[in-house]
Amino acid sequence: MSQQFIEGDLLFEFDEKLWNPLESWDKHAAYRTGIREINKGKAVDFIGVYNDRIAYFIEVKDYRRHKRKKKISLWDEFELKVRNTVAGLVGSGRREEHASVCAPFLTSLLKPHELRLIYWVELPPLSNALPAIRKRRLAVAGFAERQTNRLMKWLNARAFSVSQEDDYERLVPGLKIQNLPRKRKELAEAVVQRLRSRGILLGEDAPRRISNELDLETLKAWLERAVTVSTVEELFVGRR
Amino acid sequence: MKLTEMKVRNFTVFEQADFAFAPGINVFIGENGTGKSHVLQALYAVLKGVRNQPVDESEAARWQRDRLAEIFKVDGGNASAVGSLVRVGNERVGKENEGATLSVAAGQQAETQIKIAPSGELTVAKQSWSAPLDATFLPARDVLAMCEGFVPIYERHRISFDEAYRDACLALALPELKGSAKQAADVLSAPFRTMLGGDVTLENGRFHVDFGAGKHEAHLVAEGLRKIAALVQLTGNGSIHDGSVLLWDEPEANMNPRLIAKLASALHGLAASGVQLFIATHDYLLSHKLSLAAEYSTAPKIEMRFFSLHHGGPLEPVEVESAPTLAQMSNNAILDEYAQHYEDERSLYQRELEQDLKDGAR
Repeated sequence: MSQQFIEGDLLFEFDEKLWNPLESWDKHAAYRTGIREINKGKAVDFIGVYNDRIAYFIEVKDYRRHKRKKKISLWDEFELKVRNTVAGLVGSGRREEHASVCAPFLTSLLKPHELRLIYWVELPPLSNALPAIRKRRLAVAGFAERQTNRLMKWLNARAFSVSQEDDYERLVPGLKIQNLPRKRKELAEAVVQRLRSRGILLGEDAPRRISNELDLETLKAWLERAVTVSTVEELFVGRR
Repeated sequence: MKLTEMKVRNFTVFEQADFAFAPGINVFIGENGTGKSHVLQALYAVLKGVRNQPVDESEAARWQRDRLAEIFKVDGGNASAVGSLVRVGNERVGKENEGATLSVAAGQQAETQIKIAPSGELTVAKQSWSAPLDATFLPARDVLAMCEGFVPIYERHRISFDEAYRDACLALALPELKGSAKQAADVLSAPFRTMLGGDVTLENGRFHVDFGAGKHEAHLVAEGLRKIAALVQLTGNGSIHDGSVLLWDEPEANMNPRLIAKLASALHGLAASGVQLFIATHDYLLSHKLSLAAEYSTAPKIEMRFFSLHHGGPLEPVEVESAPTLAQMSNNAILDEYAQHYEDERSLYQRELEQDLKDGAR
């Protein structure tokens, strides 16, 4: 069995036998009701514990279709998210209702070799690029990684940049990546948008379920039905 | 007038090399010993071989031979030793070494063709310049701090510095310009003055740099900054001007990357003002900053040409690859090494990480 997360046009599938616990942290209630409420800052996308021992913080950036527009540099942003993640885990770990979620991560955080920081950056593929451009990307990745690690010194953890082009399973064992069809994200957004514009109450779970739907045909059917249904439950009835 | 080409046959490390230059910036990269400095020195020696007044053939040959001998410092500057510039090992079976040829042109009208026999005999087959082209050669080492008293010593004694050092000292020592020429020179020197964060003065043959809190003698200023100070002086006194040629060997030597990044943009500006540049470099930042300006047509658009000098081994002839940007180049030893370094670093870390994971599983 695997646990799945979608980021950009990427599907991350973690082997549940190796990864436990595994949380979508930026969206997790423990984070959102914790430091996030105070500083509005973002955390990393997922956090997980590998092999009951090593904690991973994983941040995903998919720049294959959209260029980065933020003014803050990639490494400054990542460092900020890591800082918010650590603060969020410590803060929420001290609150009774979230203590058990945070505990395994806090254990790893306090051990020098048991935390890995992964920033996953997908750039447009270089399959047709000139050899010099491919090498230049490697050299630049090296500079960026050094810069990132300089910022992470306070946490005594090493950051690593990864993409599909790398041998990523050596760094993040038990992970499989799939590229999702380009239209999927737009279709899911259109379904939610159409329901919202009709004033249908969606709650928290329905938008997540819609945006996590991988099957294009199902999404297309939902988009059609979104015009006529009167509740969101009706939409899911008779899912293909 | 801009240099347009150089053709080299059997000269030093080159068996056959043709260079088609850009009117803006020409960048030479390549491992040590592939002849980058030789290209700059050959260009400089040929340009210096052109006299102000017409001279007869034998005088032209004598003068040219001296310039080659003094700039390449063959046998300590011994003119009869220029034969040692002829590449050995290129003799066809049963035939004698044909000697070297060098030809440098600035368009159709201006051209020099030189033949050098292995015996050291030099003939000028062609020399058709309406006037000499002003050229400045800057060696990798700073010249500013060694100027004081250097020229008289150079003229009287046999020392191991080549003529380019003497010429640079003379050029640096030229007094300030005046009138409209000064205004033009100030425009050219402004970016270098900003980079230096100060101004350069010459008193009794000694250079000083003033950063705003009093003057410092040149040799007390950091060498990287002295090289920028030299550019302030040379652009400010008209030695480097619109229409002149600047040949700079390893500008990056002794410079911090922060200075190099600024230098790349200042050089771009210098080319935009009409100076034709020839730069030999080992630096990732300098070469790639210039290439990015060419790749993305950074305004003002400067025509550039990159030359990669490479060979299969020290005894193999050097091959030349050229392209309008580094991205289009397949031989780039600087980039290869940086990319390889990242791969090496990654695999070291991956190994450590895998070990960590294994240890944890036990």
